[in-house]
Amino acid sequence: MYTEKSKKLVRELKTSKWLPPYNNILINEISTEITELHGKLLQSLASQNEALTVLQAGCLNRSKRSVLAYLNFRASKLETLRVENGPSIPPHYSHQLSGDEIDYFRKYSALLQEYSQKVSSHLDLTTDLMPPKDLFIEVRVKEDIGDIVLPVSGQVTFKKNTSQLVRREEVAALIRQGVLQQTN
Amino acid sequence: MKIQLNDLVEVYTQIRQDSLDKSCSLVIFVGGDVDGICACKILTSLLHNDGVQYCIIPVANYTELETQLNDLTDPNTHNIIMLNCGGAADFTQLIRDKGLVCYVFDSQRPCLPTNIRSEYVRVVDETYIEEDLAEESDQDIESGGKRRRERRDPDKKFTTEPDASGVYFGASTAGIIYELSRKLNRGTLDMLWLWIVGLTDQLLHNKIDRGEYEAKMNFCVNEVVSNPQNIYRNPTNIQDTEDDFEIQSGQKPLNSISIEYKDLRIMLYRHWSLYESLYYSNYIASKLGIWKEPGKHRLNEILAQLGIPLQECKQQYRFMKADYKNTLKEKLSLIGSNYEIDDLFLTTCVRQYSRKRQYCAADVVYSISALIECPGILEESEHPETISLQDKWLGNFWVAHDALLNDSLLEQGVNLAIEQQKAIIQQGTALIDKKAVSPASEFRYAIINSDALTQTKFFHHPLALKKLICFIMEAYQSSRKNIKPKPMVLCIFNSQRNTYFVCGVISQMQDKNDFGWRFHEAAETVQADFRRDFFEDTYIEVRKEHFQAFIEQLIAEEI
Repeated sequence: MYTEKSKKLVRELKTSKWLPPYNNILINEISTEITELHGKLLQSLASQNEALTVLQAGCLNRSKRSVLAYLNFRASKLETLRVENGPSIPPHYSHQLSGDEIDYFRKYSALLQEYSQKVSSHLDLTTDLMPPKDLFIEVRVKEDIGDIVLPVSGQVTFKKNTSQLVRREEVAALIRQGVLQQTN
Repeated sequence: MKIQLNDLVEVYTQIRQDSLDKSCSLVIFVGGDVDGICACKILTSLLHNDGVQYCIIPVANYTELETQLNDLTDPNTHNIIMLNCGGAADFTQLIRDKGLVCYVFDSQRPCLPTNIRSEYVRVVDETYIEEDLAEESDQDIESGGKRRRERRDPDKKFTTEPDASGVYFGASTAGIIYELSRKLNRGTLDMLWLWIVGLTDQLLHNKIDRGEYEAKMNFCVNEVVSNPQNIYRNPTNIQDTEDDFEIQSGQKPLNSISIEYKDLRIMLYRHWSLYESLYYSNYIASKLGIWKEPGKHRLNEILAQLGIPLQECKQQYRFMKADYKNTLKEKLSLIGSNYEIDDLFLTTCVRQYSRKRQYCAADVVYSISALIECPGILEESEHPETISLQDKWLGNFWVAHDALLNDSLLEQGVNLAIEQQKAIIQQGTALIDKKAVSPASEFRYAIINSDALTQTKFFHHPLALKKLICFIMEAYQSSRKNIKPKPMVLCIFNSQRNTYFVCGVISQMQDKNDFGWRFHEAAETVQADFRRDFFEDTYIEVRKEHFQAFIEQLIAEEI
């Protein structure tokens, strides 16, 4: 069955929590399948078999679209990662990515930085787009962090299983990392 | 130093000013009872609106409180607030050394005189009596031995110091904090509800008696009626079809509080089936003697006289036919008098939490206390088996904290409370059936020697154990006529810790609970290993090896 492999590839995206490891083998197999199909397509064109031509062209296009969707989805996930987590890839994520993807991430990161410096030197484009309702939020501390120094509040001690009222923008990064949890 | 209620606004302004001027943070310690959590919720919402940065640290007992106090290293911390903890322990030295100021809101009385004398500890007391401190200190020395132990062990400075006259409870802490918010003109409907819950908690956990509850409930009722946010009182557009539906179905606008002048004292009946909630209610179960065959028979008789088919009774109360529900109270009060069930009603408040569910204040208290003391783990976690007991308690505390104003979590708590109540009735009736309750001269006592059954796991926690004792006392009271009401002591073995957990509850006739002191005396006399760092001074934990001597001493002391 043609396109079976490409279906499997796209399904992989759904099964993992963030991204599945980059499936080089399957992509190579699909690309051989596409080349093979292309050869057959030329043959059936020459023999003027219309039904077969339509079928083979459809299969070819579908496989191509699936691989492109796979790559595009991964790329957009990487962009989200950059915005949410800052310019470095967390170590437990890096082995899910191919070399090209890591390269893509770096280049995207550099572009983003360049652009935000061009707009204004103090602007951080990666903060939340929604304006906050409140200057302060209550957060629950999930892990022991100890003393940290925040820009406005100064030294703050985060002890596990306590709740604190803190300035929203100061702890946004910690909330994204899952160390703090916002309560309503 | 004592702070009167009238000065509370100044105190609050001072705390706020300190925080804004010197950018110092505020630390709030909360004890693990429902009233304390309610108070904490009210206070933090006030502080939140003022932009005062705070840190809430839940503490289960005095040992934890001491460690947490010692761990306070942040130089910015200047003020500490203690909610329902800290009144009975002497930590003035520690506070002074760290240069802190501590405000204590503790409903348990009496407060240690050393705390009242100290400049750095400020105890909030609602009773408007100017006590002469000098006189009090004279009294201490005069009555020496019996009244207070002067000997102070430096290692044990944090164990509560026993007071022979016994402990009792003042106004609920949530009530005091609500009073503060009212004086600041910032009382909201949520805060009012939390006060009502805090007050109900005091009644249900035997901290205040019915008369006091009714008196204070009157204040609540006044507040509910006069609260402008409580739109149920003045519905704007009755012509609206949706409102019409709400009035017909007994549903109220979301989050509104309504007063029930005669609510049934049947446990959780809004969320249970009528049959089971009657069966498992402390009051009905003890009056009918439900654990024996005639008792069950009498319950069926009552239901037959009510004219409600068994099939209807055994389904969820919410889905019972409206006709039955509407006439239930009236009929029950008529029929009840034939069965000596005449004290069925209580004034309480009901809040519409969501479109689906209403909760009365007692439901919330049962649900929250079940959540705090849940034997399992409520929070999602990756490695549930590695969680320490303390972390488990803290996790459950926060779930309970969030549940107060959250419909779905509260429902989870109600299910737990139902399980707990079943365990209470089963365990209680088993003890009475086996005649395991023995009399001493001034109290009754029972010992549970094995915790192999899963249901006994509930009773390793203070609030659940107290509820069990309350049920046994009530059952004893109604089992025979003219029986003298006696306090009750219950001991339960904890195989994990290899200790016995002991609690003493006084009868409604007395107003002060002196078991804390009695336990302490008995344990000291037999030189037992014990732990008495509970915020409520009616518990003790004794090592298994020393328990036999301890209980014998406790009984002998009476004579």
